[in-house]
Amino acid sequence: MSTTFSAMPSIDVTNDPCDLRIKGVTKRYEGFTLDGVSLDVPRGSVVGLIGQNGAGKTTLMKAVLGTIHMNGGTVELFGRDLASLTDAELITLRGRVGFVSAVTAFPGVMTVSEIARMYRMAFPAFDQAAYESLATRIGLLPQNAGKKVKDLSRGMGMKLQLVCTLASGADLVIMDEPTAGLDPIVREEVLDIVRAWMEGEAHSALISSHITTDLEKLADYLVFIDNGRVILSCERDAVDQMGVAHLRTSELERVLADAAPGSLHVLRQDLSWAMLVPDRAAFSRAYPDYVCDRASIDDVMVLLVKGEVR
Amino acid sequence: MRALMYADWTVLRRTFLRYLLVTLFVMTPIVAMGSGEGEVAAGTAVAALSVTMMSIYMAISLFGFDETNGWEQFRLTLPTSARQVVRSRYALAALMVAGTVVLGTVLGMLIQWIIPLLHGTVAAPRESVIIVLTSLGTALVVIAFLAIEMPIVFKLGISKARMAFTVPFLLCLLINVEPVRNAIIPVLESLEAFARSLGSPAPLFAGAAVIVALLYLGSMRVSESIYAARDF
Repeated sequence: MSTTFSAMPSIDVTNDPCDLRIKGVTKRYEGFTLDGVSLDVPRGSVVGLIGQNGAGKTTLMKAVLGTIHMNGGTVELFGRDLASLTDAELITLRGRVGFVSAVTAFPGVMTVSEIARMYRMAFPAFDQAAYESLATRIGLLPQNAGKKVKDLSRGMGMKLQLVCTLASGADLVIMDEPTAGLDPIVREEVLDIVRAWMEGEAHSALISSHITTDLEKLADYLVFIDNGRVILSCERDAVDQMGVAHLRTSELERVLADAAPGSLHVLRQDLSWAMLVPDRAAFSRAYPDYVCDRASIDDVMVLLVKGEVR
Repeated sequence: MRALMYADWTVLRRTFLRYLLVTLFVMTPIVAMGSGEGEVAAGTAVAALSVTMMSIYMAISLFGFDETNGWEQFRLTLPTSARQVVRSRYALAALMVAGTVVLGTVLGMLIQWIIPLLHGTVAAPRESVIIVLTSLGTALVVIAFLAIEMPIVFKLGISKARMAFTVPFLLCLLINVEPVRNAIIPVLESLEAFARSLGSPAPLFAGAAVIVALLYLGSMRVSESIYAARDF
């Protein structure tokens, strides 16, 4: 009975071509350790990185981008181990990787046109026509061409980053909280841009966010990270199979007796227990009288992070 | 590296006029005081020196922009390397010094030409040499100063390293302390005697230029190692 509804999903893309492979990445800070994190970004897919603030998402992205030195593990970009590359090789490889930061991190006195020009100089495959078309479509050009970065709204700043990155010719884009702090309309525009870019060629993306509804719309795979560790990796569809059972104590005890020890996450609520069910359909067949709702990504995250393992 | 230099150049262009105006504002009374009849050289030398010194403030300003908006971290995510970041900054700093030398010299020449006109005299040709030597001499001091300071900034960032910029100026003030002055004066006198024995300041300048250039290149190497080891 236990394996029918309580086995957590996992992903195995070992044999698939991956644009990014992270193996056992460890980074130690005082008071926080990113602890042996592994994940893959298969070619042509979007991987959503989910975790609460301080979980280690940004640290992991920094490790991938090479802006911090790891204490252990390897990062492979397009099949090449970053640690084994010369400066020139690293620069060439970085020309295929775009990064969108949570804040608009350009010098405030530079204008929109100057930022685009800088990208054109930095990325050998920068597509000026694509930049102009995309920037015009989202209202960045022509009216904001001469506007300084410091005078752009947060939404416009994010659009500028996104348009430049997507026109850079990158095959893999890494985005750190791209929709944080944006109003719903701009957020939807940003997601549309990313979706359209993904539909094109064999593009891949690693996107961190704690706005999980965005990832529901975009991601093919989800990686949950907490306190510096990966607590779940699964296909996006696997979350659709999951459920949250609302159980009385006696019902919980019955379910736990049937399940393998240590396989379920439960959280005490006011008068009942919430339990993460990896396979909602199997659970409903086994316990037709118990209430089991469909789980959202938020539910999964809360139960994995705050629930106790039973 | 071209993209990084372009970004730095764009920032510099936007701040240059402000620094030039401040420099002119500070230097004008000093030039006026040192430009009485027959005293043009002192005023023009101050003009050349002040403008050349401007490259120090511009360099500090550039490092300041690195720390705004997280640009320092973000630029490392572009197709570049820590080594290129350092090299582009050293290259631009050298170009800034060269630019301010030209500007300082031209300004000094202009003042040297205008002030005697006000007094109804003609500038002595010797004063042009003084202006050029002052600009070049100041440039060597500025480059040596940057060579010492830039590794500290690449290590700590400008916020933490800004105190380091004041240390050389504070050390210069020590010349007012009598024991220090007594120790330095004989060194300066022997340098002057050596220069006179050469018959021209050119060899002394050339020697100093080689030493400063080597110091600058060495400093760049140190900064490269320091910056590559940093976490952002």
